[in-house]
Amino acid sequence: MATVKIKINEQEVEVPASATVLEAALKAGIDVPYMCYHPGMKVVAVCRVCQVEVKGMPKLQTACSTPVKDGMEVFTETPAAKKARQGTVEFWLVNHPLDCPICDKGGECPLQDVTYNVRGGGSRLRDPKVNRVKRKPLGEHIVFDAERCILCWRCTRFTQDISGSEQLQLVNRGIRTEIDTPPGVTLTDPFSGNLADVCPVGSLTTREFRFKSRPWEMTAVESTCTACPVGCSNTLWSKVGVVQRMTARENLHVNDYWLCDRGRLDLGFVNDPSRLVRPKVAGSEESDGSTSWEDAARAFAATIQAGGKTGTWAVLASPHATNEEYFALQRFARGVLGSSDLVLDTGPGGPELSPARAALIRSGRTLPAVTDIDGADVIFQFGGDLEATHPVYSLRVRKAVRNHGARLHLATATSGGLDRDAASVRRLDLAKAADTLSKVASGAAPGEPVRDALVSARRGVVIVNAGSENDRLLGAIGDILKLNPALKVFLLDDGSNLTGAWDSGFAAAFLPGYTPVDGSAASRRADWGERVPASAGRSRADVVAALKNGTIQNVLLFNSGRPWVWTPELLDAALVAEARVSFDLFPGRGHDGATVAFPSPSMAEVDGTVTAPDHRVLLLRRSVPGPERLWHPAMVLARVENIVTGRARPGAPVDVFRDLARSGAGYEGMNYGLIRPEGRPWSPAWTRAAAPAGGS
Amino acid sequence: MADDVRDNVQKGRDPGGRFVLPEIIKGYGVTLREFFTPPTTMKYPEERWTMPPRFRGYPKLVPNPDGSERCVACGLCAVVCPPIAIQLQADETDRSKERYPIKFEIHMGRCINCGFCEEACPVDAIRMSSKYELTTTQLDSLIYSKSILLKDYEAP
Repeated sequence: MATVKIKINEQEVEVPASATVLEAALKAGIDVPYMCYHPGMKVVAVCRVCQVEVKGMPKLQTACSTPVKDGMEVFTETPAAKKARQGTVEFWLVNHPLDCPICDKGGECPLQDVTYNVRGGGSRLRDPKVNRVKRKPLGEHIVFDAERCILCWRCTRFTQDISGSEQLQLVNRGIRTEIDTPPGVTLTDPFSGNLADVCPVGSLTTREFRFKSRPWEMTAVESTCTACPVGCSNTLWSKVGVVQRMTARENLHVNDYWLCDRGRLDLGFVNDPSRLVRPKVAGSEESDGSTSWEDAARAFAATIQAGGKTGTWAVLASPHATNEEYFALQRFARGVLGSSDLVLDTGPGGPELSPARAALIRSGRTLPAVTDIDGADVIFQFGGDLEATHPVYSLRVRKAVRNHGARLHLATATSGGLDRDAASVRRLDLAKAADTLSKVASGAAPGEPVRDALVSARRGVVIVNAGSENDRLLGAIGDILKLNPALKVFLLDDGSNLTGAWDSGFAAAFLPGYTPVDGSAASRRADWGERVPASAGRSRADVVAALKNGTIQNVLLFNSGRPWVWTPELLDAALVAEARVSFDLFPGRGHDGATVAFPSPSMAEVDGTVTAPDHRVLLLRRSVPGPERLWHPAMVLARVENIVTGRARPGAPVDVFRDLARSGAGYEGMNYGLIRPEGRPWSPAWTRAAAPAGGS
Repeated sequence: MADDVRDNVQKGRDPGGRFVLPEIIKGYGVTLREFFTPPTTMKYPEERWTMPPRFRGYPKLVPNPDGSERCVACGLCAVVCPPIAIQLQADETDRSKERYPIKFEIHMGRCINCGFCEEACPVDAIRMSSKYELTTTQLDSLIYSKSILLKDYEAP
């Protein structure tokens, strides 16, 4: 990328030629105040506070909208620039209520910071301030305070350019200018929580966080959202052990600057009083069956020892635990329980890791990084509506279309927010997804513009968000990929850490790193335990059948991180089992009456990693302590293993991750320090073998 | 003392108590004089001092005329409090000030009467009162809730 050198306050800065003066100043650490500029949005230069003097230009220039030019000389602290800033701030504050003690933004408010830094001479206004509406609900989540608004347009630009809903606009003129929804529209934008993030004053606040806490009272922990597979980087803010809010954290490799409302606002379960706190053992002496963690671990061990033979256990897991939990669980299941019957509950008809899918992942035709969507010229999105299932990815697709000129072709089941940005839209019956995709590939579908676009694409991305119809769909994907070697496929499924579970080897037929069980499992016995089965386990349907007919007598139900409703078919089969061991956050059908029942931690209470669908490993940090003396599930499994086999194994997440990194999952060389803060893409053995020497 | 005197007299060291008796008489003289001078102490529980205007007793919350608190729960008193005696939780209210403390507690056992909270308050909702009596036999009763802090507010 071409760079230019400019001088700001006599200090030389080298920046990309596409940068603006403001970006150059920020890079050089020179304080130029700004309010309307947001790195994720287009420049409008309406707030006027970033005015600087540029040598050779007769008037002050707004730094955010002035492109850099080689040899440019910029001065930010001249009397003229200072006076312009002071005047701007004075104008903002003419009608700003200065109710900072009440305002939720107080303490993290850019307007406060700028006002203090600019040090104007106070207000010269003699008339009373204009009073406006103080709390106006714009939608389900966002409350608007018109008095505080300084009209930076960040929110309106967000709904227009980023989320595409266009549900906020400026109304009226002059002193009466306000932001509002169009007549008859309420703010139903699935990304509305971001408005509270981008608002540089306390004008837009979320109903969920309003008046909950001051920023300085909270502890901020950089973590990762586990509500959907995207794995958005977030910051969890907690106050005395209670999670108060989640805000977006900049990560250009995953979520840019945004979060969806689903992830951001679904926090109530963390501090729900009905959370499970103590383990329970059926037949325990205490009235409610609760017992100590050690006793529960012993009861679990006794259940295993009573089971005797191998192959009598099945392990059912929900899809949103951490990689550490999945790795520890599959190692435990294989080495201690002697079972490869590992089932990931991905909903009725949800995806399973089949050989065809593993082969596709190993083929190198999957999207290496989600940021490659930005550079694509043709995007074909197929299956469910991205905005509903993987919300933040839909923002990236829209960005590719609007900012980078990609052509978007949609074949989705329901209409969604991306429809307006698409070059072609067709509705799709998800049950016939594979057929439709085959038709697209063969060109058999009438009036098919998608095939031609894919064939002529220079960098095409096929986003398959279908999930079901496993092998036939994969066959159709294979046909699509044959159209053009420049196509990459991006496989998306429901189930937030599905990719991480499969990477970590939580699959019946595959070990970590998509290594087939057959032939290579026996080599793990020294590491994982004597009972590692040499052959692949049953598929989901077979496990259900085996549980029902009594071939499998015992079941381990594992849920951690978030509340989970088991697929009825699986749960019914699990309830038949003689012995049932359960990990869960909340009481429920699977947990109540289990032989041994362990509480599990929420996603805010564990250190761990999750893996995004592009195999980027992202770090979760513990932000609240959670229920008293809660054992991490991997710790429980390590203790049980110790009782059963005598092997001492560390159960802390950091140790489990070290083992995972050594297990061939493609996470070699990673540790928690290297993963934070932006995550780290995997580098499986087969891509490293293909890459030239010296490549990282 | 009396034993010492008796000892001395009996052992012949001070026959007749020559040095002791005059001192006793002198002492009674002082007692007699004080009997007729006005006392410098105060009969404490029945009588009380009027504290000087700048005295810092324990903090009280300032009520509005309707009895509700003036506080907007901004949390500045809690953050400035050196012994971390103040705990509050804000919530939303329908009144025009929008924000109010649903919980406001001061641990008087921790309070050091420094007056920083009064100084930090942007809405003049907490003031140091002239009250200083906190004696209790139960430590927990030293945690003053919002209702206690609002009760019996006397404008200076």
